[in-house]
Amino acid sequence: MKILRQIYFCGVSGALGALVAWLVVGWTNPASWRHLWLSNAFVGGSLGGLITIALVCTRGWVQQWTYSRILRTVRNGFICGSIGGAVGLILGQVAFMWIGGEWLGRGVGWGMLGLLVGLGQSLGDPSVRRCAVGAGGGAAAGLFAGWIYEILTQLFLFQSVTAQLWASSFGLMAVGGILAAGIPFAEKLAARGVLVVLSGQRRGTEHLILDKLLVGRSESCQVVISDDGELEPEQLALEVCPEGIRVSNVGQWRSVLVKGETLPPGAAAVCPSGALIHAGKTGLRVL
Amino acid sequence: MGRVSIVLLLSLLVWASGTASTLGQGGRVDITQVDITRFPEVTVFFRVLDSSGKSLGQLCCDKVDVEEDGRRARILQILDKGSFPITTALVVDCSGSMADAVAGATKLDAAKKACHEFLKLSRPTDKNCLIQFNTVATVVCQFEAPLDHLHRSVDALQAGGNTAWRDAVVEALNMLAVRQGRRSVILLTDGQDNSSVRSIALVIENARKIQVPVYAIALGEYHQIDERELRQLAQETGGSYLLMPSPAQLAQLYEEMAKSLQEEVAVTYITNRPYPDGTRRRIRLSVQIGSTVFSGEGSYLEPHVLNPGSHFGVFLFWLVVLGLCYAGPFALDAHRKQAFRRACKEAFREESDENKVVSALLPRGELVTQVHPKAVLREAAPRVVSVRIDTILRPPEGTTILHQPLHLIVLLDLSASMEGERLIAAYSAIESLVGGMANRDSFCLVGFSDTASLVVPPIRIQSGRKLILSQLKDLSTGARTILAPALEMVPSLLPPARSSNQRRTCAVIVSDGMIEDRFPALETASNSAAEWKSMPWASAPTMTMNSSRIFAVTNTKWTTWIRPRKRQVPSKDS
Repeated sequence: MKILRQIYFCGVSGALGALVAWLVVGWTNPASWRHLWLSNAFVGGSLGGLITIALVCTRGWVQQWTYSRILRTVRNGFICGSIGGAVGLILGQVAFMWIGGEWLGRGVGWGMLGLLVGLGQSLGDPSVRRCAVGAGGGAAAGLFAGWIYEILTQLFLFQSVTAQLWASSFGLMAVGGILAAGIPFAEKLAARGVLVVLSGQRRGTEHLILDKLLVGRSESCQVVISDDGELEPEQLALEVCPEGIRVSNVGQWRSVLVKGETLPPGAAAVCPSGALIHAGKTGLRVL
Repeated sequence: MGRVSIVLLLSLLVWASGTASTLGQGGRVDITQVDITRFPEVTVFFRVLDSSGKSLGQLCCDKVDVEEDGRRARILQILDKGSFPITTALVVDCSGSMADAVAGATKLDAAKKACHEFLKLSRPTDKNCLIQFNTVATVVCQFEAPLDHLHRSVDALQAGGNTAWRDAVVEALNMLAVRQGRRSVILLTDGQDNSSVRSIALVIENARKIQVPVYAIALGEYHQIDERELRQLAQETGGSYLLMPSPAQLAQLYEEMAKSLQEEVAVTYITNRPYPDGTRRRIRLSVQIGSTVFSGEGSYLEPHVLNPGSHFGVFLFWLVVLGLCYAGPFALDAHRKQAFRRACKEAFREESDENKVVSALLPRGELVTQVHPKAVLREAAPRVVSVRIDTILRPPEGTTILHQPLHLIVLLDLSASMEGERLIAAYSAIESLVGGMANRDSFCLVGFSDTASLVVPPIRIQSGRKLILSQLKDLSTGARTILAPALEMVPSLLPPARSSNQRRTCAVIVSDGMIEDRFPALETASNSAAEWKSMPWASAPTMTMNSSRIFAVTNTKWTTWIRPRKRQVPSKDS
């Protein structure tokens, strides 16, 4: 699946996660709680956890992860996302109060939530660059989402309770959608390349190369190609280098073809954009 | 002394002015605090000041109007002065510097005297607590402590240690957070904070959260104190900042503050917007006393970042919308694929028709293979026009070609680059070709990528149409585009020699044109016959093809290679 389409589905899923959070939060009515911080922790935790679950599930779906991997990532993502969301909204509330609400306050408030959620969801597959990009993307998306939320709030300022319900549900969905789409969009902007799987069950799937990408049959790889029996558990490593993308054969015994040239185990080659890689029965292209 | 009096006077004026008030005609309403602890009930505490800034004292309001964000609110009750309790946290600096003597008495003694004056004016319903701070903040007396105990505790204060006024204010705010009504913190300090754990931002945020104003009194010269932070704290919380260079008038200031607090009036109203939407709401208060109308403005921030709600119907509606958002791209894809397939079929159907016409021209020496119209494909799928079809036809001998059965050999590129829509286009083309063939025609398919493989062996259309179509669905792509092995297979797929004369043979290469290494000449061939002949596969001895024209469709242009053929003049018989 193309990257932009992946981002689109992440956004829709984020909106779905936020919608579920809206329902859950509405049922428990934390606005009436005496302790504002506890209320924020609950709301932020629900929001962060559910958005992260939606985000991770979508990524698993579009990149065709195995069920066990999706479940494992959902578990980690929920824990990290909930904690990130809870801490993020508490910090967001501090910023909101400190600034005095309104446009900037709302934007910064949601930006803090986005920052922590972005950081939290990146912890499922940790690397410094990924975490930084996730946090930055989340913060920017949160800021933007906060403005959207504030616009909706101002538009529905004097409307009825029913209108407030519609506004708050749509506003929260917008926040969830923008956050969930903003984080992978930031990754797309920061990516140095894209790896496209050209054959097999995962053909057409695109993977961003942020810093390092491991390809193989093992579940520990970022790009898992389980339907190719001729592939080793860890076959290829694609890394960003000043010249472009460096492809290393990290397998033990099988060679791979890079631009038609054989790359034996342990060897590495710099891959220009558009180069074809053949590993096992699988064709890959670096863009 | 004169300077001290002027400063005191100015300080009292600053105190009296409060915050967020506007001057009305003949006086003004000074909103001192907005209490939203019982939201959507909002209580506004205010004083009415005359044009000189002095409180009007006993208030008899003929009419009070409250507008929130320009809309009149319903007033629940008006509490005149003295009819509601005031809760005050006295926060006193007991650091070592407070033991310094100024004009015969220590600063701490002056502070004690000031606290006594404040407590003396306290009414039985009022609640006060005492917090002292030096290196750490200590709650000396709780709100429940009787007044005499408070006086004794004030007397027992002793100086020593550093200054931690920020921690002390947070402690006071925590104690006030669980109380309602008119609340305030009166902070007295003479030095710079050097021991607090909390930041000024946290202090301000805590005060804003519970809407409690902090009145900060700095004792001493401005360079000895945290003037910027104290001023910020007072301004951001709706309190006041007072600088007292000398402690001599401190008691008088505390007395004035106590009186000022007790002169306030409270009005409680129901907000028109009972939603926790996190918006700042502007209040405009108008008080009519006699024939004079006083007015003032203030604001409060509803503190929730999120306005939560719950309605299952709304949830279901959005769920359906999101479902459509999920399904939309797939439906669009399906529609595009269908349209593309339809366009391909149309294109190849046209080709089939063209072939008949063109075949009729064969006796005149023209042998044409029609390739699907480029424009149709461009419109249907802009990225798929790189489908390339090279057609090689063996010309018939004689003039009865229209009635000859066809043996079609399709060489299908199954390289990675054909993945996706290109392959779909190719499938459609082949389906179309097979669909247009007669029962007595025969067909075979060779797939090529790294190597060539026979996907469909030569088979009569009559018996194998379903088999061919089913085999097409099971194709999988490989990696590279190497044509030679496929071409080498062609001779073995030609009809038996005994029937070749009766069966015209057609080989169609379906490729996207990215042939990698073996046939560079194919990519660069021009109209030159010499170049055409130089192609290795064209001159292969086993391939006695007699092609006349090849069309190729590429991304950008139509390229035609024409191999000149000696034109035959049709005989009169034919």
